Amino acid sequence: MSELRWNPLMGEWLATATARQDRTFLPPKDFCPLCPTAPGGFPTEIPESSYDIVVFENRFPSLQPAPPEPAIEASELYSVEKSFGECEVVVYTPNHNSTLANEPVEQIYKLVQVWTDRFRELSKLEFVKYVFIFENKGEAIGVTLLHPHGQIYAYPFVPPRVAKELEQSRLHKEKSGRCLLCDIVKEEKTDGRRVVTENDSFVAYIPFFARYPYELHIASQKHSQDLSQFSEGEQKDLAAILKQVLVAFDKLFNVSFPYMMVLHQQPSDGDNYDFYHFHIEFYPPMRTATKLKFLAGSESGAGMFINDTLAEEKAAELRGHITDFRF
Amino acid sequence: MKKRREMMADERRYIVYYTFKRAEEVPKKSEEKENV
Repeated sequence: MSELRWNPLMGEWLATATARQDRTFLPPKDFCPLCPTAPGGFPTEIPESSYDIVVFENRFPSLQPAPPEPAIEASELYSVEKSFGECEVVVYTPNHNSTLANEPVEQIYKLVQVWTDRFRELSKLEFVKYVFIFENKGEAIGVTLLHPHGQIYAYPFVPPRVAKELEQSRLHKEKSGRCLLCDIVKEEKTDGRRVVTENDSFVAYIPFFARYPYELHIASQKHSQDLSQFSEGEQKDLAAILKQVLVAFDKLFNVSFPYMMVLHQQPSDGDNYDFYHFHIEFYPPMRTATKLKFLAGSESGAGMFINDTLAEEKAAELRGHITDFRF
Repeated sequence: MKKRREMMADERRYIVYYTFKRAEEVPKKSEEKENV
């Protein structure tokens, strides 16, 4: 059963997807569904014996292009809609034991090109209003498959966190005539204490308002709204800065660093969002080598994060692990 | 970049294979040096 249910208290949609309770959970390596199918071996999701990067529809989707009828009736208060959308899996590499951080910068450049193509393709679908590209990495985040992969959710509405950013960006533009994120990037670069690394096209920083100790944002130096606006050189610069940041994360505690990585782009609903600015956000749950940050009462119940660290100090730590990767 | 779209074994879902030309595979030799 799968449907969208309206939360009138928050003014937000949520998806129910009961089939996901039965999804594959941390299978042994020999039965990884994201590995290539070896000749005569266990048939995985990917029939080919080799591939560069593969994208396929999730076997356990929360959104579908042909969704079932809702299993519950709507009321005047509780709206219910079919769960239109797409849920794709993006497999970064055939190498089961790799991570995005361990992949060469050339492979990350390929991934940027695939992300761009998926953004373009999914944006064309009539029922898609927002294309959300993300990666959940590590058991600390709750991943069910360890093979390096990300996901794409194509929503039939603009999700609330992005909607809030859009509204703040629109208000700032009306008030000042400027782009909010351009101003944030300018302030971070002028201050400098929270900048981790930058290249010609992108800058990585732990923002002044970071909620997690190692929350890191990557913003385009150019005022751009989505991946499709980047040149080949900018795509390579994005791959290079991603490699720098991911390797620095792994070096922090000498572990394969868990994180959520999300791409914030303009919606695909046909409206004008030229006031918005492309960026990537990382939310790593580790606050020390042995401790995790949990979303507890204040964070979950009140929506106010408490950061036990200073962004300036954490950015300095990460800067110490930055290595230069170039094409 | 080339892509090939097929239906999966369950005939309900699509799969897209992305492949890259040799020249795209290694645009330039990757250079790695420590930042000081």
